[in-house]
Amino acid sequence: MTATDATVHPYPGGDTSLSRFALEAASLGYDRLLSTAGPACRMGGVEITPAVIIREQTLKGATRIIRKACESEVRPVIMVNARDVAFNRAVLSFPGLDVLRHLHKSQKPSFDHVSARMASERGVAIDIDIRPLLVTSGHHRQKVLKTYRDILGLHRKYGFMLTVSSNAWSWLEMRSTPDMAVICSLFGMTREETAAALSSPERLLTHESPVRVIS
Amino acid sequence: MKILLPSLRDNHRYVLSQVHPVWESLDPRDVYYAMNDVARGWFGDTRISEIQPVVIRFSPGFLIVRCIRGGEADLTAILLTIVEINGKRVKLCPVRTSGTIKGLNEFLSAHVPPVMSKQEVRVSGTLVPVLSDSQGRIDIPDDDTGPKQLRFITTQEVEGA
Repeated sequence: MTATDATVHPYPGGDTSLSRFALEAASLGYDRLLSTAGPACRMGGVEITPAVIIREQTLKGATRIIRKACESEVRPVIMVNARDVAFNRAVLSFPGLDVLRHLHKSQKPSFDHVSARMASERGVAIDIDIRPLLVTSGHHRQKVLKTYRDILGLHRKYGFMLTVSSNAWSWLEMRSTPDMAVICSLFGMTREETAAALSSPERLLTHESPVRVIS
Repeated sequence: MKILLPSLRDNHRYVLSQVHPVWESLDPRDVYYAMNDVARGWFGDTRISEIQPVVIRFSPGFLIVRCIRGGEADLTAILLTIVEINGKRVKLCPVRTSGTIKGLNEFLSAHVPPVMSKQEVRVSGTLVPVLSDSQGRIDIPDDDTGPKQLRFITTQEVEGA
């Protein structure tokens, strides 16, 4: 089973070069990194896959960028930052989306059973970002933990894919694959679920979908 | 004070943790305060009083923390979620848990960490003092660089390497 860190931000966004991220990722037990900068390549035994994060406020803007990214020569992994319920449902129904992330940033719970079913049917993964667990505290962290517990509950019921990302701007924010399982256990994710979530970007890239009964 | 019999004393566990970056100078007292702050955030004072985390030894690159037996899983989570100590960005990676310090010392002697040596290299046309190791890691420990500056690179980014 492969392990992928679903978001890293190398230089110029962060303070660590892409090759250093790859070197550290290899020593931390990763096989692949989804990187917001740099080309698709293989460095030090780690596969680098470009990813694009869409931070648009409007659906129109987000869909325009998704369409543009889908048409590019090397198709990146397309991630969209979540907004309210209406935005999330609309963007989930749009073809080309791979990962919906930052659900903890919504003011109100924005991922319900309808969105969960849509994500499951369309093979869209929901991202678990561990960075807010490390850098926030108190009320903010409690809200993040609550959101992740809710997502986990829906994941167990509807079976959509999860990804786990360090969202690291520096290699100091990356954690090894066993350490990810320890951090994810803080909101009730089992070791097996974490391992499956770490390997799910591989399924996203090969566009494998779970077996479904159609008749 | 009467000394307790060994059978009546608490059983301890010692957690060995790597500290990155290895060149960062830290005060063990600051490490303890950071650990206590993070622990309080995750588990609260009640659980901390049960775990009783204490910094036993700190040397550049390594840290040994003690806790009560049964609290090592929580202590590992605490160490993993520390990102800053006294304003310095760090990363703690628990690597080994043992019932004795001797066990950790034996592990340490068998797993010598790569030593970082000082040198000067040319990065983006500028000669900068760096720390490098044999595996190709190069750190630029410049306090003046902002958060968006390049600080962690490999030999691939060095000009004329």
